[in-house]
Amino acid sequence: MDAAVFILSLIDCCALIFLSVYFIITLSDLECDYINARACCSKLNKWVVPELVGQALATVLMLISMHWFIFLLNLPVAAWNVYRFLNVPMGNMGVFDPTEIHNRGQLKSHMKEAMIKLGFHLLCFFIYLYSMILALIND
Amino acid sequence: MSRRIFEEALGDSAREPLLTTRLDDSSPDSDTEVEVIFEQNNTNAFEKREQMKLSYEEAVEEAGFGLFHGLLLVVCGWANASDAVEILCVSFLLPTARCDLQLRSVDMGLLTASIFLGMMVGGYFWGYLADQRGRKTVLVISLTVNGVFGALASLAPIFWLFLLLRFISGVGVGGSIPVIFSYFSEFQPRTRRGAMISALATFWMAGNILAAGLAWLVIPSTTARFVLGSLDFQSWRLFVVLCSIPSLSSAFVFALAMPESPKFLMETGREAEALEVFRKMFMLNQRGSAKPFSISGLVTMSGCERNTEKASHHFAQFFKKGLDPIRLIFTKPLTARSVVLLIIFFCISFGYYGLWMWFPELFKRTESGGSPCANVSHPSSSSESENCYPVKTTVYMEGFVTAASNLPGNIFTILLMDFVGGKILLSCSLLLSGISVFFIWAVKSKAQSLVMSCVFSAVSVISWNALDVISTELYPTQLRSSALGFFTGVGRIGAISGNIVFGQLVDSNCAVPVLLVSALLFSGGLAALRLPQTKQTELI
Repeated sequence: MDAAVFILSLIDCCALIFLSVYFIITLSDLECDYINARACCSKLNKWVVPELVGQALATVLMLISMHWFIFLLNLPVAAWNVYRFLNVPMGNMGVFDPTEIHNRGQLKSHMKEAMIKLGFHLLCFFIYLYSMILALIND
Repeated sequence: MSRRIFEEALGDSAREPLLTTRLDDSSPDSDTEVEVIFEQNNTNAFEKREQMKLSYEEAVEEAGFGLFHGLLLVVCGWANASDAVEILCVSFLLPTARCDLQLRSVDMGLLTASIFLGMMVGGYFWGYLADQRGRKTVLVISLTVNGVFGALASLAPIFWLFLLLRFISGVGVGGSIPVIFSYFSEFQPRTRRGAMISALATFWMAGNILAAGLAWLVIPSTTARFVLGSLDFQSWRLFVVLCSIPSLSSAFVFALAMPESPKFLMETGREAEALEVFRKMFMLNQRGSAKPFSISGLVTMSGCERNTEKASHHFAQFFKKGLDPIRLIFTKPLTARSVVLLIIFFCISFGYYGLWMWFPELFKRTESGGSPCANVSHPSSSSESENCYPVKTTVYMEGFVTAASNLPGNIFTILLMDFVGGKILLSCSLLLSGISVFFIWAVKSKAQSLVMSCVFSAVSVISWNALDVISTELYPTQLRSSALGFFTGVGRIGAISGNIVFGQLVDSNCAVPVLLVSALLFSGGLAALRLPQTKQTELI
């Protein structure tokens, strides 16, 4: 049972890694002027909710299988995602707004956030892999 | 009233004499004023050409393509093959050495992983040094470390000593691969670069076949054992010594006969030496034809900046400077490609090295059952009491066949690389290899297992070649070695994880590692779709 939970969270983690890679690529395309702000933001806004759902799924899985440490590790990221999603200012098109993205260094901060998330998901990948191995050996 | 005749002096390029005559009908005395003006255009043009400085690409095109490149391919290929031999010799001796060194499956995983750990430590370090000090010196040193410690490892009587010596040898191997590919690619003209890098990667296969052949010859033979002091020098120890000979001979050749890379020399402002290298290339390539060497100047970049760099003795400063290239790899405009390459290198190394190092062991398990995972119910204690001697030669025969099936994949890449481009080859082959690994797990009989392994080896070699070509082409010269070193390091982490996962789980839940390998290869293929296209563009 434990092994199945970790396999599922491993798959979820892979999906989240791919999502953060996609975010990084799109944001860097905007930095280098390969696409314009409207196209970039509409692409990214489409994937904000799936990322939210994926991260929440991983957190909930860890909660119900009672692996407290990994749950506490995932909780801040999930909470931050929800907070950011709920706190979008009134006139904006979504979390990524084309008129706001070039102000106040928002592009850089989004890029940094995506990089940090990538690093975090890679770390989680290894944690899940290790826990899955442990679970399988102890079965 | 005058007839003027314009003539131009004939130089190398004969031009048509421009004869402009205005013949007036009413000019009887046309001979009185004749102006002849000679234009000495062509000598001026000749002088101008002598003073023209060529860029790197033009100089490489000028130096031609011929015997020099063939010799370079053989020497670099031999160094590449020696790397393959050093890495793979451990996987071949596992079925036999297991009894002599008393290894459980977990220990075997550790042993195969230790080589990659050493390569990870060495890889970035040597790559960075090669960007600062020059490719050739670094190659000589790393190949020597590789050979010497590999040979010393054959004398180790206990597991931990063997592990440590192989780790240090791995540090040497880590230097060769990124530096060799940078070095070799910097001699190639643009239109041939893809094919030549694929040809270089073919020598990895040659090293693979050499290691498999040596294993087949040396390990099963009972006459190769003798007693050396208190150590029982079994046949597999002799095999380890033989495996270190290619790297030592390669280091020798590099130290004596090979030039430094001209692109590196140009980037660091050493124009005279770069000219000398191009002259040598030209001489070897144009033997027989009487073309004179016509490069007299080279565009060197950042000559002034290099002079102000002093050797930083302060360790912290050196360390921080060492991490600079990694930071640069991830700043724009290289961010997207670096992140994607990170994922791809991890996936492909986990999959390929994890599975490949365990093939001899898995083949041994298919002897009794149909697929590698058929004998899962054996507890690990009973496999220790299994007799390793006499050695089953079919295992080595299958290893040899699997190594030989790399050849069609290599030929395929050499022919198609410059046509199709690295990116498409990479993603298609990764997807295909993911599927083939899935079938390795799913089939039921020994022959089918062998066939699927051959398919896997043919397809995965295509993906490695494409990856080598792409990663060489995507980075500017001053970052190329460091970038290759970094990504190879990431790949090592993948290889270590793969081997440890196999070691831990192959006895109990054998399906998990194999399926994980398949899934990761498949994901790597999907990620490769996001790389930029670099077919036949100039080396930055």
